[in-house]
Amino acid sequence: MGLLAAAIAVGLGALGAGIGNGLIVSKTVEGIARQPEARGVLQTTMFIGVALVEALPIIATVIAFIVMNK
Amino acid sequence: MQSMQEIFKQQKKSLFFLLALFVLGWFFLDYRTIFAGLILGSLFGMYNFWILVRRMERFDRSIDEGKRAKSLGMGLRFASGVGATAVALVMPEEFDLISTVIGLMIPYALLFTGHLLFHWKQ
Repeated sequence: MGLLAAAIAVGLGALGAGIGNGLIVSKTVEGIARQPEARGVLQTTMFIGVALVEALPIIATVIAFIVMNK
Repeated sequence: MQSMQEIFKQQKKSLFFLLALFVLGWFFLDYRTIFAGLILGSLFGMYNFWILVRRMERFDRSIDEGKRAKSLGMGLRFASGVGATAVALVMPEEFDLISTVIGLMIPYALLFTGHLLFHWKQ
């Protein structure tokens, strides 16, 4: 049961992070293509977005790992 | 708006300051496992950030050259989080698990508060 819980936690976390990152990157590339002069701002926003989107899935992975090993 | 490098530089500065505080706490206070966990977690968190900045730069270069960007290194960051936890699980007498996880999230909390402060100042 612990293994199943860990798998669900990692899977859903990674799914969320994947979708979130995909949306952020696609919109950033779209924005850079439209307005190349706004590249720096877009890159910074993407950096912050990707970092914050990934924080919770990392926690999910860590919790899954703890559940697996307890 | 700050550039990515500026944000990373600021993050490094505040993280090293926090690390120095944790090391002082580890030396002089009784809660050695908690401070050791915080140090371990924040070091791995800083590594995560360094990977993110490096991959972003590579992504930027690949856009410039018109190539396909491979990845942003999400798996590597997940693995480094698991690595920090694994170290804390293997050596519970040295590192506290909860404080390791808290330390892992310190750079993200710093980024969030730094960004909020930057917008609040403007």
